[in-house]
Amino acid sequence: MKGAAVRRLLFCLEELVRHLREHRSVVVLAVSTITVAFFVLGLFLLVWVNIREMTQAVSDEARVQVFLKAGLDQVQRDAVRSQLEREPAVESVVYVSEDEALNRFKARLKDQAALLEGLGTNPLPASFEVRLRQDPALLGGLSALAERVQAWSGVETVRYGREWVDRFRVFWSFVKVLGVGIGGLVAIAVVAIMTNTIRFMIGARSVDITVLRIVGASPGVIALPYVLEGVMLGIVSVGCAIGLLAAVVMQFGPTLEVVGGFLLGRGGLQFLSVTQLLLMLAAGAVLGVVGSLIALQRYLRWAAG
Amino acid sequence: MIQLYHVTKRYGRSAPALNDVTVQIERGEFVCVTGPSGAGKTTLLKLIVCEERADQGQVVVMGRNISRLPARKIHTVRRMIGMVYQDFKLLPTRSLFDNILLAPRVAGHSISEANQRAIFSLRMVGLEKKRAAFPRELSAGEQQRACIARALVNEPPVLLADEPTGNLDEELAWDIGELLRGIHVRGTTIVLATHNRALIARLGCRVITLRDGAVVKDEGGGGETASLLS
Repeated sequence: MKGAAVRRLLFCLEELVRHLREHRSVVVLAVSTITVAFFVLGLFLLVWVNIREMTQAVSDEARVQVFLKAGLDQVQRDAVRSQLEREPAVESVVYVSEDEALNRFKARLKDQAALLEGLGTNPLPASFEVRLRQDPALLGGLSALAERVQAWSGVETVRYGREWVDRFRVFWSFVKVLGVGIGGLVAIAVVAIMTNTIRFMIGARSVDITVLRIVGASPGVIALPYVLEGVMLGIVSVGCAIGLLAAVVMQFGPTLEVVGGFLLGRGGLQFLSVTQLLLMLAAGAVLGVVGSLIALQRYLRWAAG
Repeated sequence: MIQLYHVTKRYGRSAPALNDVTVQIERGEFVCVTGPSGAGKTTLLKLIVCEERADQGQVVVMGRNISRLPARKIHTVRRMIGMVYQDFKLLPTRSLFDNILLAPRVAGHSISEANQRAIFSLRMVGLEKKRAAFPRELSAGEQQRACIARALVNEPPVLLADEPTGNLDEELAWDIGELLRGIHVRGTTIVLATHNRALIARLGCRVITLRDGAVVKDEGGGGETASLLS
């Protein structure tokens, strides 16, 4: 019984090789079509990844300055610091003393620094420079954070680019909605193209399936070569699409970095991560299986002719 | 061997292709099913080989009620039935030998056993020397013989033939008839759907005549169906 199952499996693999050899042109056509579909999806992902990288780089610049009341001792300052560090949105806290603030101000004034020499005492307060975590989504809670910190004892005032942050939040929401919308549509199109391509491919071999049914092949023996072919088709097509994407990035990446470099993240133009590439390959394989099973459904029904 | 009890089959909303048909075919019988086009001959065979499911009634093949058979088990019935078609249904991209090899391979036989079976089967229908030929290189009669070889390669107890002589001239038709008679002599139950009256007359077997989906005559048999009908 086990031997028969192994022999049937061997038969299925032989059939797979035979399909690929006999229907070479159909297979090439299917791979090309699915490659183009996944290339478009990959291109979209690439744009999305870089926009996200860009917004992260911008959000990285968002800092909150917490000015302290005059005359705080070390213990009071540390209390404010540890409170700030407990906030989930806070990445790091740097203390800027009155003297350091003055030095920075002088450095910024450069040639006009002499103007400050008339000052008897340092008018600048000590502060904490708070850097936020690199997540554009956290910017939404920035106003609330500022208001909360403002109420703490020892804090004089809190400053951040409110107008800039509000604009950025609107932009980020827009990007998200657009991304999910377009990404969803592209993904649906890819699923439709892939399943229909496989359906067309299997439809071209309906005679083979009919004959296999006549001679008493089980649904598993009929389906397995086609399912394996679907998986191979998905993986090979996605592999080709990734290769094309890499070629496009290598070809146009440097130009894009020059033209839009100020918008890109610190690392320049980003390619898809290994996880994203593996997910694309897995999606190709899964869609191959689903497409094959959908196409085979009509042939495996009870009364299919 | 094969029993149909009050079987009705309808395609869409048209008149039934088979209407309350009751037929019993015994082990080792040679039965011709005849009647004009549209009488229900092909539908009868399709019901036996599980290509169609009866709307009403029961179809029992070798003790198994196939009306209730789940889709995943159909192949177990088909392996017990060899099927011959008017249009041969040979795969054009495979040699004759590879076409015949398909059946034992899907049944799980080893390659050497499958090869032996295919050679034996081709020898039985007289096509051993054409094993490397492709279907397009064969005459209609040879293609039909190849189709019979494929149907017999797993030595099924039942052979169904749907108008196997429909595309052949009188002489070739009789060749096929002779071949089927030889197979029957070896103990295979044969159900032959045909409207070739001359062939039926020469075969001299039991004849079930269908008209408008109903059995109108059953002659030359042991009277089992007649007793069921009465």
